[in-house]
Amino acid sequence: MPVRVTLRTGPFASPFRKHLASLMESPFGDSLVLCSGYIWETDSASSGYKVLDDLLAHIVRGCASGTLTTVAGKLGYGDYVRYYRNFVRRIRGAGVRVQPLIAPKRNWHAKIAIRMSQTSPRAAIVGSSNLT
Amino acid sequence: MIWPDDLNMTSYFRAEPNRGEDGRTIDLIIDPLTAHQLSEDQQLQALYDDVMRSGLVPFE
Repeated sequence: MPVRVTLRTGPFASPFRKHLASLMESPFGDSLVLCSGYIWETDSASSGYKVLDDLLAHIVRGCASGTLTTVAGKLGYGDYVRYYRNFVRRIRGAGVRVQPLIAPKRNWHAKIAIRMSQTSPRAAIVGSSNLT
Repeated sequence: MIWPDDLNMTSYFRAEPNRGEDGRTIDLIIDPLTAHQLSEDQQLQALYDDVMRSGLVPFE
């Protein structure tokens, strides 16, 4: 399997995020499995950065006829349970079917995105960047 | 070290704790000794299977 390694060279451009967005909308699938240790989706009233500011449009276009399955971990730290809840609600509010999951001990840490065509995986990214 | 109470991973992706953090988190690593025996489609299926069979439960 070909492997591409991307590295950041500055604080603003994220090659991983760019490829993740492409994977989300890739035409050979209709659904997505999206896993992250941390998810940074602060309350809607907060004016600060939220990860869905960057990703929501890609998720909506990529999963309009399918399902987004999310896996988040590290929920024992600070506000991350609420942030995961915010994340799921905002995506559902945009009309996407979401199946939110957690690891039983709330310790999921792997960053994985899998583009699915119904129940068949078609492409994937295994990274080291959280959705933060 | 694998945490069998959390995981049931049998294919080439297997879980290890992230020692850089608290030593109890779930990460996936690639076992190259097994991976090279699988086709691209099989590797993708193994990754998906390992995620979905890792004891996940609904969030709220």
